[in-house]
Amino acid sequence: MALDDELRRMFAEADDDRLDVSVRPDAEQLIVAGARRVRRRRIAAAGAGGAAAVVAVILGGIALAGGSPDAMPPAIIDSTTVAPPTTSSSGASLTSAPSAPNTSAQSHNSNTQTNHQPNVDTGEPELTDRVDAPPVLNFEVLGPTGIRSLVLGQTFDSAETTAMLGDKTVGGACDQYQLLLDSTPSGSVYISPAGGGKVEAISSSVAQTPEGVGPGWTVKQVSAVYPSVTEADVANYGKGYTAAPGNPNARYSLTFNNDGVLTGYGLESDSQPCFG
Amino acid sequence: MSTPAPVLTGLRRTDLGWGRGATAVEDFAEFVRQALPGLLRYGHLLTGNPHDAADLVQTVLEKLGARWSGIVRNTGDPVAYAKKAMANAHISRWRRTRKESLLADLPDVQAVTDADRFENEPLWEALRGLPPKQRAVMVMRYYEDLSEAEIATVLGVSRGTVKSQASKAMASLRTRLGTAVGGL
Repeated sequence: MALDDELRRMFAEADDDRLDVSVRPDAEQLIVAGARRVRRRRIAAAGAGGAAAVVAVILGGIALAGGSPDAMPPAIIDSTTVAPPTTSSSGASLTSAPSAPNTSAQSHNSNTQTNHQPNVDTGEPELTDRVDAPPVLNFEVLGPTGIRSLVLGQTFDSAETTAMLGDKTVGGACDQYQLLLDSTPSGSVYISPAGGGKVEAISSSVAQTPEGVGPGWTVKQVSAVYPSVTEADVANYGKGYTAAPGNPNARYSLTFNNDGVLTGYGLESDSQPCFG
Repeated sequence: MSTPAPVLTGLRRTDLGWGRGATAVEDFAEFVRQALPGLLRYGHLLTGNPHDAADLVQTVLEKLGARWSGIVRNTGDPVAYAKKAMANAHISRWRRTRKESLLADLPDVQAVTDADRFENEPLWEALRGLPPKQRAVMVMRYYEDLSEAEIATVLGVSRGTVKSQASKAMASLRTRLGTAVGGL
C-alpha cells in the first residue's frame, strides 16, 4: 500500500533536525531536581499521614524543598528558540471534518461512554417506585479485574505507565494514590509496598460495576443484583460486600450513606493487606 | 532505529551499573543526558509541537527519576518504559482537555505560527492533524516498528482497538492528502 510505504519512509528519515526540540542547557539538572522533588513529596506523604500529607502534597512540598512558593517547576524548553504554542482550543480546526469519536471502554462495556459527570439523580425521588427502577449510570466500569488498563495485581511500575496514578496521599499498610481518569482525580488506588509493589484495591465514587451498580443505587436495588449485600449489614456498618462476578479472587466493598444510598465502592483483591 | 537505545541497553548498562554501585542520582542524570534527545523527538511526534513535547518528557522523566533504581531493577529498559508512559500520559491529558473545552473529537494540534519546520510537508501536517490516540498508534507502528500486539499492551487496549485506530488514521491521512501520496 503506497501510503503505508510513504509513512515508513517518512519515519525512517525522521531523525532530521526538524524533529529536534531545543532545551535549556541545564535541562538535565532541572529534571534531576524535579525527580528529587517528586521523591521527597512521596516520602513526606508516607511519613506524615492523613490531612498533613495531603496538604504537603498540594503545596508541592514547600517546607521540605525550602524553595519558593511557586509550585510549577521551570520548563526545560529553550524559550529563546521555541515560541510557546498558540491557543490550545477551538480555531480553524472547527471547520475540518472530525474523526469518528474515540470510545474508551473497550474491554468492559461497549455501551458506556467516557463520562465522569453523573447522569443520575442521586437525591430526588423518581415518579416510579425506586425499588423497581435503579438509575442507569454512564460511568466508567470498575471491575471485575480493574478499570481500563489498571488492574489488580499489577506492579507499581506497570501501574505508573497507565497514567492513572496520581499523587500519593497516605502511607500505611498499603500506599494510597489518587486514581486519575483522564488526569482527573476520581478515586483511590491502594498498592502494597512489598516487592515491586502490587495493586490491591481500586475505589471510586464515579464508577460502576460491570453489572451497572453504582452511586445512587439503594440497598434494595443493589441487593437484587448482589444478594450478599444485606440491609442489615448496611444499617449496621454502612457497607456491603460481594464476590466480584467474573473474578474469583476479588470482591466489591460497597459504601452506603445514612439514607441507604450507595456513594461509592472499591474493587479489592481477596488477599489485600490494606484494610480489614 | 532512531532512539539512542544501543547505548542504553545490554553491556553498556551493566558497565554503568545503573542502580547499583554508582549512586542512583548519577545514573539517572546520565540516563537523562543520553536519552533526552531521543525522547524529545518521540514526544515531538506524539504531541505535534516542541513545547508540549518538552513538557511531556519533563513530567514523565521526573516521575521516573523518583523511582529510578526500582525501574532499572524491575523493567530493564528505561527508554521503553519512558516512551510507554509518555504515550499514555499524552493521550490521557488530551482527553481531559477535550472534555473541558466541550469540543467534539478534534485534533489537539493547532497551527504553530512561527518556527513551523514541517510547513511544506503534507504528510507531516496530515499526521499532526490526527487525534492523539490515532497519532500515537501511527508513531508506534511506523516510527517504533511495534507490532499490533505490542501497541495494544502499551496503550492497555485490545488489538481490535489498535486495528481500528490505525485504519481510521490511514483513512484520515488519505483524505487529507487526496491523491498527493501514491493514490490508493
